[in-house]
Amino acid sequence: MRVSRALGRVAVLGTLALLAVAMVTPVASAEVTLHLFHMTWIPEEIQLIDEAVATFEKANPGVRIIQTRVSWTDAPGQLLTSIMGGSPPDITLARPSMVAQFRSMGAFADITDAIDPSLKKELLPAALQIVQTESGRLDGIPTEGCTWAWFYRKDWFGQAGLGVPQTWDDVLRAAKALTKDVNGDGTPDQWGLAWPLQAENAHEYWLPWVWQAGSQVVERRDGKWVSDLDSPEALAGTQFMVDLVQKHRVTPATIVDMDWEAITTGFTLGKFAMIQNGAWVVGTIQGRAPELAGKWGTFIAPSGPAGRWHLGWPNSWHVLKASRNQDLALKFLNFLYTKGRKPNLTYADEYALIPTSLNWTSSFIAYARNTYDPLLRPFIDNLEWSRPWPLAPAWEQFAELYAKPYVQDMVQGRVTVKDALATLHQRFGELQR
Amino acid sequence: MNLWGLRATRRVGSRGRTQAHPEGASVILSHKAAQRAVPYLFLAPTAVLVMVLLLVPVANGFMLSLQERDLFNPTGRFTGLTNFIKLGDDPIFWRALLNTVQWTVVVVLAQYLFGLGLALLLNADVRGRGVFRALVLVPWVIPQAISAIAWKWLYAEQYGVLNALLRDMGLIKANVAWLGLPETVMWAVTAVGIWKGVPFVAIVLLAALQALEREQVEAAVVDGAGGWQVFRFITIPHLRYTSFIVLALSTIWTFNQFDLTHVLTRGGPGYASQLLSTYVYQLFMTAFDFGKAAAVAVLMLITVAFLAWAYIRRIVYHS
Repeated sequence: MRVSRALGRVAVLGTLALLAVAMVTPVASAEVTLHLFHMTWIPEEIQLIDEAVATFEKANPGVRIIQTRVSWTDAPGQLLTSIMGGSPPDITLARPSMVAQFRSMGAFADITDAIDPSLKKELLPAALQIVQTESGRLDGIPTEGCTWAWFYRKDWFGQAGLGVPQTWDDVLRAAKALTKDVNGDGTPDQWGLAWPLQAENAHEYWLPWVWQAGSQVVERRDGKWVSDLDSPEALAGTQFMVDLVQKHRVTPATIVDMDWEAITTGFTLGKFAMIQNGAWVVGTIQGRAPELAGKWGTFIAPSGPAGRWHLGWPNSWHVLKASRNQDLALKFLNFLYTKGRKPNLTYADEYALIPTSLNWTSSFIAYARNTYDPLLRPFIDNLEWSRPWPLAPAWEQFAELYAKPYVQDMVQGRVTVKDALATLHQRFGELQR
Repeated sequence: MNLWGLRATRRVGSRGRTQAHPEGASVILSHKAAQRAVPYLFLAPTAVLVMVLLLVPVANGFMLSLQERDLFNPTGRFTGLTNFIKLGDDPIFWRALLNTVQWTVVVVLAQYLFGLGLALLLNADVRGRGVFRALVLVPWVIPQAISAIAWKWLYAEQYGVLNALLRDMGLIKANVAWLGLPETVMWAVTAVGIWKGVPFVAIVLLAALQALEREQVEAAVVDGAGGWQVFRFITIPHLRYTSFIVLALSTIWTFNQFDLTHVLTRGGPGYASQLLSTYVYQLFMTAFDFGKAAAVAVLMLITVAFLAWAYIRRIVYHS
C-alpha cells in the first residue's frame, strides 16, 4: 500500500517535471512560421520563389515559410481582412495603390536601416518614390514590375506609308488612315487605335493622356493631396482621349467592354492597327499569333505636350508592422536580395529578369537594353518615363467609385469631359477630407 | 408532481382515466413530453451554431452601419444614422437601387414563366423525358462564376458566338457590344440571370405537377373542360402554394445575386449595371468604406428579411 502510494507520488511529480520541461524547451526548438503573401503569377517566377523559400528553410532549420498566393484583384481585400482579423502576413508584395492605402493605415514597418545603401543608389527615382514615406523613411523594397507601351501593325503602317508615331498628332494621323470599313457594310471593322477600358482598367489607361498633357491628376500640395483635375491640362488630355472615340471615330466606343486580353485578341485578329498594353502582351501575341511574326512591332508611348509619361511601376516587398517575426522577415528579404541560384544573380535580380518583367534599377536598364527581345526595348526605354498610380491614400477609393465609371461614360459620350472632370475634382476633394 | 405531470393529469383527466391511474398516466405522458423534446434537443446545436454564425455578424453589420469606419478610421467612430442619411444624396446608390429593382422584377417573373412552361413540357408524355429533365438542370448546376465567364465569351463583341449567329441569321448588320453599351448591358445580364434560374423553378414546379391527381384532370375533361380551363382552374390552383415558395426564394436569391454581374460587367459601363450587391462589394472590398457598405447591406437585409418573413409565415400557415 505504502509502495503504491509512493509510486503514485513519484508519478505525479514526474509528470509535473515533464510538463515544466515541455513548457520551457519548445520555445527554443519550436518551428517558427513566416507568412509570405504575394501575387506572383508568372510560372517561372512562382518556381523561383518556391526555390528561394526551400533554400531559406534548409539554411534556417526550424523556420517554415507559408506562402499565400492571391490575384492582384483580390489582394487588397484579403490583406486588409487578414490585418483586421489579427492574423496579418509577415511579408507582403504590394503595388503602388496598395502601398498608399496600407501605408495610410500604418501597416508597414520602417525598414530604412535594413536596406543596403548600394541598392538604394541603384533605384530609379520612380521606384524610390513609391517606398518612401512622407518623412523620407523607407517602408518597402522595390522589386519587379511592369510598364506599358504601344503595339502596332508594321505591315499596315508600311503599306500606308506611315512612320512610327512620335506625337499625338502622328497618332491621330495614323489612326485615321488605318480606320477602315473592310467589308463594306457601312461601319468600320478595322480601327486605328484601341486600349483596354473595361471597368477594371478604365482609370489606368486614362492617366497617361492626362500626364502627357501636363497634369499630375492629383498631387501633394502644402502637405495634403489635392486634385488637379480642374486644370486646363487635365481637360486637354482627357478631351484628346475622348475625341479619339467620339469625334474622330478611330477607336470603338465598345472598348469599355474590353480588358487587356480582348484588346490583344482584337490586335491578333486584325481589328486594331495600334493598341496600348503591358509588356507581358509581347509574349501573348508571339504565342497566339506566330503567323504575325515580323508584321508587328512596339514603340514607346508617343509624346503629348508634356512628354511621354506612361503607366509603369515596380511592385514592392513590405514587412508588416504587426508581424511577430520582423527580424526573420527582414532576414528573408535580405536573403532574396543577396543570395541566388546563379552566379552574380540574386533571387531578386532573377525575379525581375524573367521575360517581360522589368526592374527599376540603373543596372537593369543597362543589362536589359543589350539582352532583351528587341520587341521589349520600348518598354525598357519607357522606364524613365514611367509613373505609378497616384500615391494618395484615397486614390483607390476614388478610382473605384468615380474615376472608372466616369472615364467609361466620357468615352461613350454620356457625359461631357468638362462636367465629368468637375465632378471628379469635387469627389476627390470630398474623399480626401 | 412535476410540471409535465400536472399538465398530463389534466389532459388525461378529460379523457376520464386520471382517477383510475393518475401516477401511471403522468409517467407515460412525461415520457411523451420527453419524446417531444428530443427533436428540439437535436436541433439545438444547429440552432445555436446558426445563431452564432448568423446573428453575430448581422449584429456586427448593424453596428458597423452606425459608424464612420474606413481605411483611415479602422477602429471606427459612432455616427448614428449618418451613413443612411448620406445614401439619400448618393446618386450611385439610387442608380444601383433602381437597377436592382428592375433586375429582380424582370428576372423573377421571367424565370417563373419560363420555368412553368418548361415544367408543363417536361410533365407531358414525351419520349426521352428523363433525358430532358436531366438536361434542363445543367445551367443550375454550373457554378455562377463559370457561367458568367462562359456568357462573357458568348457576348463578346468581336468574336462572340451570339453576334456571329445573329449576323448569320440576318438579325443584326454589325456586331453589338452587349456588355459594353449602357442600353443593352442590363438586358444582357438579365438574360443570363433568367437562364441560370429557370431550371430550379422548372424542377420544383414539375415535382408539384406530378402530385396533381390524374383523375381530377380526367373528370374535368369528361365534364367538358378544355385545355385552358384545366390549366386555369385545376393546374394553377394546385401550383399556388409551390409557386409562392418558388417566387419568394427566387426573389431573395435574385435580389442578393452578386457573382454574375460582378464577373460579367463589374457594374459597368459607367454605372449602367451597378446593383446594390456589387455596390456593397465595391464599397467594402475596394473602397474600404466599411460604414457606408454596411449601411447599404443593412437596407438590403431589411428588404430580404421582409420577403423571408412573408415566406416563413406562409409555410407556417400551411403546415
